[in-house]
Amino acid sequence: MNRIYPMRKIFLLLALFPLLLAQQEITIRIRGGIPAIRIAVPPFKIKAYTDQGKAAAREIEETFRADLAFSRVFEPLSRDLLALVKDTNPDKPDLKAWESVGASVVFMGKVEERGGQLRFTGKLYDARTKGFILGKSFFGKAKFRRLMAHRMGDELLKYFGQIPIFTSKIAFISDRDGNRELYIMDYDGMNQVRLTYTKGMEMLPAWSHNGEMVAYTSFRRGSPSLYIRFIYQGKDKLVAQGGSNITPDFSPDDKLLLYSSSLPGNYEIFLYNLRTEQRRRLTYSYGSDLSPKWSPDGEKILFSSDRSGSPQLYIMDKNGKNPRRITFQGSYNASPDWAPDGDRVVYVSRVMGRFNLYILYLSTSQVIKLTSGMAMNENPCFSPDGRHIVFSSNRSGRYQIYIMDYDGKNLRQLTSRGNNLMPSWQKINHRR
Amino acid sequence: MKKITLVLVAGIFLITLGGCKKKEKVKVIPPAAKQVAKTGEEVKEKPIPKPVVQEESIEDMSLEEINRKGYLQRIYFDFDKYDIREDQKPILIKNAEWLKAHPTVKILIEGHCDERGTEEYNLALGEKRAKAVRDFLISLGISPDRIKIVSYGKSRPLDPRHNEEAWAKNRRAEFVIIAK
Repeated sequence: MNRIYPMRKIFLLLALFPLLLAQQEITIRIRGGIPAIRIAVPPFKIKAYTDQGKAAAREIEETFRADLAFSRVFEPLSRDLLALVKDTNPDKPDLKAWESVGASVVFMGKVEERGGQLRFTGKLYDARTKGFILGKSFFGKAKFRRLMAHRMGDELLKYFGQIPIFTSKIAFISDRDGNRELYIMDYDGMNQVRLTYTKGMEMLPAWSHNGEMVAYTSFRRGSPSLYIRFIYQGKDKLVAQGGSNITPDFSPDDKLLLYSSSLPGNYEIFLYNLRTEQRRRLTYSYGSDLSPKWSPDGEKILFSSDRSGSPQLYIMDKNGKNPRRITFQGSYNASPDWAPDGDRVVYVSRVMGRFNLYILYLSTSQVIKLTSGMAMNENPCFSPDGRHIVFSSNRSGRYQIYIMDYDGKNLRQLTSRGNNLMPSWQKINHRR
Repeated sequence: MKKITLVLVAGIFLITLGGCKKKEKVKVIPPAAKQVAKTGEEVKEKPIPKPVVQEESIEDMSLEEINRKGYLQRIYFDFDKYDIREDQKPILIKNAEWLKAHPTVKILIEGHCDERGTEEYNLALGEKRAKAVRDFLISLGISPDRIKIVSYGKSRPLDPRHNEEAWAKNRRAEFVIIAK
């Protein structure tokens, strides 16, 4: 794990970058983040014998390209530029030619169909130093074609010290089959899978960092109780009942769960230990304390409270001590999520009866508005690398799940059937 | 009371039509024994049916049927508020009277909100509304252990539109009879 250090450095740089350019707001909004790595991905070499295999191989290539284009880490060369270089030998690319069209790195991909399985091999070269950087190969059944592409993309991100996000998933609630049930999907909206069949009502899911658990609220017993679903075991564990129990959040090590319960009479924040099953009350206020979120280092807790009369955001120590208010603009600030860089907080603010998403920079108290319009925009949640935000909105009529970049660019709709809402993007603990 | 009168009239109508339901018990006076008149002639006396109407009883209905009848009326709230509006108090007083007349009935009070709040704060607001209604009923003498509460926040609007009229309808507390 020697890579942790450069990763941290780049991360710090990333976190600071918007601040360095704080005066030139327009510049940040358009470019943002680090200067993108210019990558050439010439057409893949595909050796497939069946129509199915050919289609799957093409999907691997398209998925991989879509991942890179989405990332904001890479800037794939346009098709026009790619067409300038005739180079299809993955073992010996003409790196000089690639450098001449502006590529920093070159990815040579190959997909082979072999005995009912697909093998996706990729080699990354440095166009400047003309050196070989890394090679990876994934194989599996055709139905896992998209996963192979995402895994390859993740390897590239990891090499450049970035958090791998392409295999991360989004949990959400959908009423497409009649009532609100729990679903998960890939970050790009594909592979939507229903997890609950309670015919009650489920809401407000939260991913664990290890990607194997989703905590969520279910009305299956009448009043809203908190459960943890172990996704790959298909088991549910009842965590909190009595009163209403909502807005869970896993600690960075997945050992502790924060949530809000109305058992004391109004909503207060509780801490639940998954191993010992003991719980501790953290807040004692007259108002509703909701949506607790761990800081990325697990030391602080961000939450919303209407103790001052209207919902505002607060940060307190992990033992519930020293709460301090962090929002002072607007009379209704709620549903916060903490970015992995620890400096940014995304939240919902009600201004003139409209619900839009805002980002607050904790270090400078600068506030940036991300969405606009008459529609509701709710439950924002950062991607594991903090470069993207998933949220729900009824801008097209029903509630749907959207993702956009941290600066409001590249809006994409991920769902379309029924109402889809309350997304939670899996967090990844890069400190582990 | 209008409803009960209506039901009574309907009941009488059914009986006079002769459409006796299985649960309506109409007592029939047994024919009088043959009497011998002084003259020795037999006199037959015609029995008339005794008018009997049975009061509609929730005993005989399923919970679903009872809830469909709407004995307990919903009440409405102001935006972002959970205190009981003056104009809604008579409705709660009526509901309390009905609950007193049916002392075995247990209810669930559902708190609901309009869409102008986050999911989380609407869950909290709905709970406050349900609690305000519960407290009001308790103050009228209804036992707390007959009342359960739940908040659905904004997840179950009566009117899905996005205007003042719809919002006013959706800010409400509903009563569900869960035991009779």
